[in-house]
Amino acid sequence: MKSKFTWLLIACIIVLWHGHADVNVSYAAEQQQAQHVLLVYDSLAVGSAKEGNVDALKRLLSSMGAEVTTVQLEQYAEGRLADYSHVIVMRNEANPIYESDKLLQDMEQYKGNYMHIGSSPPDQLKEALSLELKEEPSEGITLVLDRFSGTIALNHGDKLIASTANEVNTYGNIYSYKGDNASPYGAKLGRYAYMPFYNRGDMSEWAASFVIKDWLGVQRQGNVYVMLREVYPFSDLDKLRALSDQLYEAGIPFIVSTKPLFSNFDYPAAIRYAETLKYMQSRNGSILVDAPAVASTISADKSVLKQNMMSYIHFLAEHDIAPLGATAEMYWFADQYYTAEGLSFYDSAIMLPNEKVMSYLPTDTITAYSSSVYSIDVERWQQYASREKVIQSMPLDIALTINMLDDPALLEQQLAWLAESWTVYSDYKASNHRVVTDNDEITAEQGQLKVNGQTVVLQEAYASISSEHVYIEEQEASLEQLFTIQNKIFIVLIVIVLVIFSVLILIGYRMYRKKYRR
Amino acid sequence: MTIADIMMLFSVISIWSLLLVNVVLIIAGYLYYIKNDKRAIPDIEGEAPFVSIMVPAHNEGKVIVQTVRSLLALDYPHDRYEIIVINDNSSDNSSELLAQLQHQYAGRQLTIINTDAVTGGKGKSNALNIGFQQSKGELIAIYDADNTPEKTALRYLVAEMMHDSSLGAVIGKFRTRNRDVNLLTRFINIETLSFQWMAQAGRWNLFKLCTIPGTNFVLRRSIIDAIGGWDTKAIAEDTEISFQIYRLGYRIKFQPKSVTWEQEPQSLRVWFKQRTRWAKGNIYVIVKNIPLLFDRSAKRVRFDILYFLSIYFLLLTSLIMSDAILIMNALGYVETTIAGFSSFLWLLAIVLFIVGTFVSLVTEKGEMRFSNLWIIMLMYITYCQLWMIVAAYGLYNYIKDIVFKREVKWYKTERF
Repeated sequence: MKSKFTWLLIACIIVLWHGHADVNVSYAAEQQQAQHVLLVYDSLAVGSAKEGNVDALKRLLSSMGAEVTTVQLEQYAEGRLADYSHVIVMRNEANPIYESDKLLQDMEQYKGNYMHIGSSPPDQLKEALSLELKEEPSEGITLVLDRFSGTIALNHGDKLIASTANEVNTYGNIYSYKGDNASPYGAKLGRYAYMPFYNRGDMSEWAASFVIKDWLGVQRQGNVYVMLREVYPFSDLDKLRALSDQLYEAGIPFIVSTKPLFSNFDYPAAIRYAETLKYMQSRNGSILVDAPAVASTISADKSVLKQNMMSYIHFLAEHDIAPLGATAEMYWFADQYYTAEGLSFYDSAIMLPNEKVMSYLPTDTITAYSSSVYSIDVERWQQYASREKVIQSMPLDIALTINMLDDPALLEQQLAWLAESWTVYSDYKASNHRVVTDNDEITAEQGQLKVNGQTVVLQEAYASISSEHVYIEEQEASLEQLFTIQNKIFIVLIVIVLVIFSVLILIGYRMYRKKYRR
Repeated sequence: MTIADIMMLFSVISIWSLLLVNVVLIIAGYLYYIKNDKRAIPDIEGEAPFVSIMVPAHNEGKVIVQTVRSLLALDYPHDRYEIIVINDNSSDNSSELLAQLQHQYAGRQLTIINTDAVTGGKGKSNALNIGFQQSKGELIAIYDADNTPEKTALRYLVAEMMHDSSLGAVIGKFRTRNRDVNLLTRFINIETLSFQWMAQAGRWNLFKLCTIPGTNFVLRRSIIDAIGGWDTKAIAEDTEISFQIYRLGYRIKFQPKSVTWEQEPQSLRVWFKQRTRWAKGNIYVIVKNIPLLFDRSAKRVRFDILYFLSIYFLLLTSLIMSDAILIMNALGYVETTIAGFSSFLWLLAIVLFIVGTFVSLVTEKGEMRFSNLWIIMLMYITYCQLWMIVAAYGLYNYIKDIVFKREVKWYKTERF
């Protein structure tokens, strides 16, 4: 009997252990330990075709959950490598004119993971990968990786991988227009990885994510989300609701990146906006808060950002809308002020490419978020991905963005493309997200939304809001009675005087007409 | 209630009170015009009194010849009036032109007094004192150097004077000779007809009071003798002398049938200078005569002093104060809780202004036109607002003159 009981106890412990282990696995997959990456670059390549690739790489790394620190080669301080588990050296100059002895010395001692992008890979990497490079005479190439492909215009001095050791993992195939043998795009072996070039806005940007994923050791498969951008209180709200119906019927869950309001929450327009967002939420939409537009970094009152953001989150919460994270241009995440005052409430973020950098207190390190998603315009995505291919593996979470300010015809075409695509779109709220402010706590756990502990009931009913509203509270005015009486007296007096004047004009007209006619 | 509220209340009461006073004056003036039109001008019984017409002039070469010619052509017995032109320290060719005229009309009683910087050049009052010393008439008439009086102008004035011994002076009208030149002269034409003459007519009808307008008037020699001549410090010598006439127990009558045509400023700059000078002059006279408010012997003057005080101080400060409070309130510097009148009432007040001004025009030949309605509307938003600046600038200049003890000089209206 005793032994039976012991076995039962062991069995229970095993069952409990398994249950507990399953939960841990799912959380661990989402909350992997952030890798600390040092990105050393020689030049921002301003004015060249490579301009913006440093920012693009930072965005890619951050979206993979890495904490990224950037430093220019000339600014590199001796001994820094030791602090990082991963180091990327990015060479944008075809013929490097500057070499950092400090970096070279540190590299000899460095035992962490090393990735080199661009020209002049160090000897140790070349040796480890048995890397041979070759000149590519034609400027136009096609890069094919997994189910993706895209054309790339090579820059002057860009080389391709000619050969590597057999045991090296290679990524993608590059075909030149001349039809020579294919070259791999990326190569990785052990702690070393190499990519011959990396450009912003072409297939190399996307292909690099496959190499980086393996190099960072990211295990989990990425999801594909659909995100609607540029949603404002003054957007066409009827159109937004119709669009959310369209997506719902097509079975596409979506994210709505909403521009925040900072005041006049009681106005009918604001309530109509909230009602629309609530409706979209009920149609499988996940609401995110977009960063407000920065008009000026000099004169604006910076002290109000935190309060403003919290008030908007509270406004949403009050209307049973669960904002699950933030969307912002890349520079917001690389700015101490914006991260502390405008983004500190969120554990989930979607990083958008920089459009106009308006930094206030820029920093060289981007903190990792437990959930970060990489955004790509649907227009660009259509260039890489084929509609009629099933994507086998996604290196990271991506949000395919649709800009609501775009031409309606283009919007329609993009929606149709997404709907017909064989891609399976994920529901953002199905993963875990948490937003905490001084007043509110909003969570998404396994698809369940909670606002301040209360489960959000998704209701499709849209309440139409009356336009009647007292916009300005009438102040209690002094001497109101006196003025009201006087007002009446004066009106009567003036009307009487006007009548008298009319009579006078009439008399004068008759009298003087006769007189002056003479 | 805040301090701003109290100031606003004060402004509102002042503005509305003055508006009502103006309405009453227009109605009374209009009735007087109708009554006067029906009434025949009395005849001068017996021999016409001898009149000395004085014309002070300072660099008036462009207009003086026409003025003197029209004065010589008056339908008053030629042997019963003399013309004295005081060509005061002029640097233009006025003296030559006047000498030619004198030669041309050798048989007429035309006296030319040429002064220089030592003997003259100290302003209109001083010039009038110089002319007065050489005058012989029991009545003194004064015309500005840019006037073209109608033939009957002097006769009407003298007839009224001889008909009523209680009159110290009789004033006529001046009209705008160049009214059709531009918008500014049209504004001035309407302004003189409405705010000058209709108001004068109203004051005469209600209180038997008028203010000498500076030109086209006659007054008794005995009055000038009694007050010791014109105050050389006063630029608005007309207002000053009006007060003196009241104090001597006389009245001043307005006879709108006596008309002279005057050249008015055609540019904003000249208009601004002229009006600032008038404003400053009137302020001088008001301040000087404030004690009369408490003087029993000056009962008649009280209304005029109060009237001028209201316009130059009360209305001016009220308008500036209410405008300043409105602007500061809009900018968020001042908070007012005071209730206001309805927008409808303010709209009615503007309509009242437009109709009231138009009423004044009905009595004049060729002025009852729809185009004048539009000009009045335009006048409300432009000319009337400029008046506030003029009055404020006049006050500022007056204070500056007191502080720096500046002397009064000829500051004549520029001719074109």
